[in-house]
Amino acid sequence: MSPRRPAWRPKDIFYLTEEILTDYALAKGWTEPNQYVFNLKDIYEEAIYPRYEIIIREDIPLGWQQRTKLLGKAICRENTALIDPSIAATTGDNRYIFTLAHEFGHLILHKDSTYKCYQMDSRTIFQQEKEANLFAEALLMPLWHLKRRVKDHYGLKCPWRYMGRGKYCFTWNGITKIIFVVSYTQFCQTVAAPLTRYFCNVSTMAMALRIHKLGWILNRSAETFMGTATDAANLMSTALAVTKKAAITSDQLTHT
Amino acid sequence: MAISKVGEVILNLRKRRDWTVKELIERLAEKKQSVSAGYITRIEQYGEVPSPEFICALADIFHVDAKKLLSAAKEQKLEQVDRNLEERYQKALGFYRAQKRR
Repeated sequence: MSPRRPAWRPKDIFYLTEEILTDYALAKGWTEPNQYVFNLKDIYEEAIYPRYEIIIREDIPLGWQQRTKLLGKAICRENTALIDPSIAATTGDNRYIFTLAHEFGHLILHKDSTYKCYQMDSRTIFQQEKEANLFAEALLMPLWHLKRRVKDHYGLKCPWRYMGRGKYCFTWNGITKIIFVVSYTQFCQTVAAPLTRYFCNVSTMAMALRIHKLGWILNRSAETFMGTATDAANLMSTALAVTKKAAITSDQLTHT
Repeated sequence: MAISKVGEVILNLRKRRDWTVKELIERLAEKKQSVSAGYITRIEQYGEVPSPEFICALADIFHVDAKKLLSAAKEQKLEQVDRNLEERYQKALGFYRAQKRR
């Protein structure tokens, strides 16, 4: 049996993304954090391609897997990231940005699958997807910058509190709005929506998930965070489908 | 119609010598052409046509004939400009017709 791939520590993933972002800041000639305006296309051009030589292709439809649409695929052997044309950059769909960063994560963190033989089962695939998600979050929504923006615009140091359905007061840049919130997910999204323009125009769902994971919202109700395509059930089904294919190929490899 | 794009040619030349993008930028800096990494990415991946001076510097570094590269770049640039103009004229025609219908 082949060994298991050692898991990436979140700290090491953070260091990788910090290298990329410092390269980018140097290339742009920024000196102050207030000047930072992140744009994923720029980051790719100035920092990711020179370092890792990753190619993006948006013209191949990727089809469906287990009743969900496959939005992106990373091919480590060719150093290519494929994105479904329905969410390509030209359509203006916000999911493009997080999907692209997720595929970059795969290509950078799991590059040694081209020359090393690791055991592939649903646990390792889950772990790989989690690591790629961490990479994308750290690249698009770095914690230090997020804290600064929240402090500048919301003026808060303590987290928000969600008590259930009802009217809530949101203050952004001194302007207060009262919004009727129906669920915990909607609360997270309302908090996240004004911040997205400072973080590569990532989708509000991705930003909401980031804020929820960081624990900045105290949840006093019994509700959980309900994402859309990133549900655990979907992930498990994709993991099982890939395991079946991988089992066949690993048999072929051991026989040769 | 250019047979192969200038970006692909430059990528192949760079790969053949096993240079990273940063090494290429250093060698270009020796020839007094200071460029950012993003410019090289756009040339190689997005099909942007570099300036003639830049192409001459590249031909110097890779020791290839500058004439071929320049003619390929010129063809590609003309094709891009042609396509751009065509799009703009078609768009204007579409607006004009839509306004006439109202």
